[in-house]
Amino acid sequence: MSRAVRLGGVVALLLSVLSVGGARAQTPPASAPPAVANLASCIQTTGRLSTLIVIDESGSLRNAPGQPGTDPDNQRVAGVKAALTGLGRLADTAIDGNTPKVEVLLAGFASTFETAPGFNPDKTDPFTAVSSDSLPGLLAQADSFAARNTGRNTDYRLALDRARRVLSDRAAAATASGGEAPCRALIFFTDGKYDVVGGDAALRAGREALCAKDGITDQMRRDGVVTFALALSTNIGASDLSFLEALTNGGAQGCGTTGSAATGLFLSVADRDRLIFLFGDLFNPSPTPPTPVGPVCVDAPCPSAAGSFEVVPGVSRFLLRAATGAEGIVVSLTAPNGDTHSFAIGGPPEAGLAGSAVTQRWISPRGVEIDGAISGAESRGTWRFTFLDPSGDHLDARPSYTLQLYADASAQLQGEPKVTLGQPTDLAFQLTDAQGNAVAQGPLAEAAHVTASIIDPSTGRATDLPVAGSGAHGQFHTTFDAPLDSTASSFELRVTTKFDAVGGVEVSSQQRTYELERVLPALYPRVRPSELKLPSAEGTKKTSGKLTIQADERSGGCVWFEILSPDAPSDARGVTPELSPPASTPTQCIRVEPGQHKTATVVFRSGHEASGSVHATVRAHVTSDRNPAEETVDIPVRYELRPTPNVPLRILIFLTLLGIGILIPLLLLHGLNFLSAGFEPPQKVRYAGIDLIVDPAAGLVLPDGEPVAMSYNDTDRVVEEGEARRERSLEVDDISLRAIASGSRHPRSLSLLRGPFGVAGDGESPLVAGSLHQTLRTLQPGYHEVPLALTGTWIFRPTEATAEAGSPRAGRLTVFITDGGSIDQANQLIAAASLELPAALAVLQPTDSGTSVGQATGIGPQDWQSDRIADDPSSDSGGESPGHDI
Amino acid sequence: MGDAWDDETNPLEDLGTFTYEEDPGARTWMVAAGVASVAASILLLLASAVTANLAGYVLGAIVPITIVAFYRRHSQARLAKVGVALSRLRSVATTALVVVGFIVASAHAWFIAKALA
Repeated sequence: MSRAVRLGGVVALLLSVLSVGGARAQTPPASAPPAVANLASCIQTTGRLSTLIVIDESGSLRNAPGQPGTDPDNQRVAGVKAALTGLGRLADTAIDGNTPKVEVLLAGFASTFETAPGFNPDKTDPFTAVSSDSLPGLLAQADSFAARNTGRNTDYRLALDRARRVLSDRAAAATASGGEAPCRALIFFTDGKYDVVGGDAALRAGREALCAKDGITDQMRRDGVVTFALALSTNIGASDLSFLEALTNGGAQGCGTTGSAATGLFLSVADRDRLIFLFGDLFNPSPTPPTPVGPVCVDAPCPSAAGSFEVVPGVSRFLLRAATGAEGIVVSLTAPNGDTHSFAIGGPPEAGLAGSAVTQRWISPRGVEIDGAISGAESRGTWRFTFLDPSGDHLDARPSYTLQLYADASAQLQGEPKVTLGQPTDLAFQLTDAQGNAVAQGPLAEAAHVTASIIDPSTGRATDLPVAGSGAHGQFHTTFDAPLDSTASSFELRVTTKFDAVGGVEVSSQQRTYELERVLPALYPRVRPSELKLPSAEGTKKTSGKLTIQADERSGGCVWFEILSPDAPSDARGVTPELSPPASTPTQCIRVEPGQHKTATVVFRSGHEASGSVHATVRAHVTSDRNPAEETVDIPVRYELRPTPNVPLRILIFLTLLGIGILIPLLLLHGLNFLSAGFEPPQKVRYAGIDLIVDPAAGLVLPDGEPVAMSYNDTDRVVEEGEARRERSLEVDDISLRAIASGSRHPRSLSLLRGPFGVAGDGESPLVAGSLHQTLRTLQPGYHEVPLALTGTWIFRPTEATAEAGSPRAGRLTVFITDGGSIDQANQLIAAASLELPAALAVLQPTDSGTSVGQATGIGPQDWQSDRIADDPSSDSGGESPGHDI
Repeated sequence: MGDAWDDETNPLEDLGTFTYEEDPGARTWMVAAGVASVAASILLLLASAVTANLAGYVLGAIVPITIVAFYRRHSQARLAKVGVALSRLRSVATTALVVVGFIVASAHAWFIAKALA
């Protein structure tokens, strides 16, 4: 593959599309802040941007008794939405046919760090691809942060460490198969100083973790994260602001060892109403301060609340961003041809004025962006706008606004020039529009001036190139003399096109970035690629890449490699490089004959799992058979590290959670059963025991043949004295009674869904029981269920082991009634027993001890006709039929 | 109450006072609460935070299983007291609720496990 101009593209999007004038500078800077330029170049190189917006959620944002909040009306949310709409414009704008892939994730922090809701099947943090379709959802996510203002503390360490990992994991996932890692931008908003639980000691430890050599900030910089820190400085002192600045770029007090203006940008405002401009102008190379106007007019333009701007040939777009100062304010915009439209909340998102499409987006009830795509000659001239208050309720509102114009022209490198050390390389540029068509007319193009700079990656040194030419012809040129001592395999060329202001309004400058490939002198073998972008490595697994050595057709040569010490996260505990074949000395060099090509493989493996970027350099030493002078080429290597998932632990946690999910409800039921398993206080229950005969023909009769009749005097309290409380076991009329909870040992029945119940019997003597209130189960041999309430229950124990079917059977009947109640209850029990006993006794079967017990039957009030239903305690009937138990 | 042994007395009529108590009715609100819990758990799958997964796990498994358990327990008591069994539709519905809830909770459990390991 020829060494080509790889980066043509996408321009100044970042430098322009995102914004309008800003709050941080009184005069436009000559060129973009290094952090902004750095990020813009990265985006043009990779075509991808991952943006993480981390927003302070501390309680200091909201009003509290005696303590006014710093942002009670959530202007930070409007600011975040301004940044999001800017990213949306960036993602939707194609230049030279390319649109960058922009993705964003919102997160909040205080004493915790949480990302905004979103779905991602991989359950990595759910970045959302920014587009016109996804933008409404992202703006809604931003709205959710209005209520996220109750956190404690402002833990910078937690926020930045998590942010670094989130971005690193994202890059690792994106490069699992190799290729360009996305550029990474962190937008970090806070209204408070660094504050954590634990006092000064915790603060000191946190600062150390953040700012030590190879600490969190250094790791972020190694990963290529460009940090934009935005502070609402209402409650932050100067020294704390200085610390915040140091986190981004090292600042005056220093933080880490690699901070610079290229690694981050720090911005602060004391007026929360300016947050919308601060966020909106984040990436703006030439922001201007907002222009205040006002007071607003009622329903017709008035000078006090009006503004204007000029559109000349070459201007392709304008962006008016305004803080209206009050809700209900309308922006009336008039085109040069007299077309007028009022932009208000709830109005149509787009309007046509003078043939141009103008869109509005309200990012808060008092913040709006009006974006116009200029089209046609009618659009040229003076545009006027006015802030109106049709309701007349906010006539004291004083809006402020910023304006930015965009030119559809930028300097494009012509051809695919290559660089040879020690020889001049001519670089020619042509002004072109977004479609690549030459532009050489119009006041903007004619006044355009172009600057260029070359960055040598092997040294990091930037060199400004003098550019000659004129916008009148749209052509510019310069020459680059690559230094002989350079070892770079390519050079980065940044070309910036600047325009004069139009009517006092800034026209955004445009930047393009190109890679100029270095070629060795003729007859030398070529080593490719010029940069190795390896697949991300999981844990301590290896990652590798291939280098191809191609000999010249006229001469053979030899190549050997030297791998310079990789720069890796300290958690990786060193990265070990390997080379195959091991051509690391002149004597081991890889020999190629004329026209031949061979490959070498480089392998990297870290000593411990870590998260972050690894940078290394493979230095190729190249000789030619026809030129003994050694040429050296540094091939940069980059890949991402990601921790290995602990699969066994993961599965263990998963299974444990599943078990807990089932066990907790069961344990809860069991606990309730256990606590409620007790008989009614025996001091409140009376009983009577009567010896009688069950005669299938005559019913229940006394042994002397007389009918059974009972009086209150025949009854006794189950327990005469003591405190009235529930009992788990009782002995009544020689009958053992036990309260059974699920899982109790006697009998071992698991009846969670039925709840606790009582059991009568000792397992040896036969007995039958019945209740006036519920169906009772016959359980294991010699046991029968009884209600825990006891009253309204009868129990019959035969005193004859066996009897012929249909013959009378002697036994003892015990009935339980309420203490102080009517004796009628006892007689009802006798009547019920007389109905049920003949059938129940007919199915009594012998027990192990030779006596007889009841068969497993359920007998209840609804079973008058002996329509009994088999009741196996071990089975679950599902509770679908009367008389069944589960 | 009359004499149960009098051939001229219908014992079934005399015993009518204790055959059936007042039907407490099915606790439909419990099923509705279980459905709402599982629905909330499904919605929480959209969230990314571990805390949301924990909440979704509780709402998907523990809450509906507990609710259905108490519902079935109430149904058993109702069956025993007044002889009204749980309808097949409700039985299937509550079982399905537990199954769906448990599946959703399993997803939450997996996401929690992935976040922790």
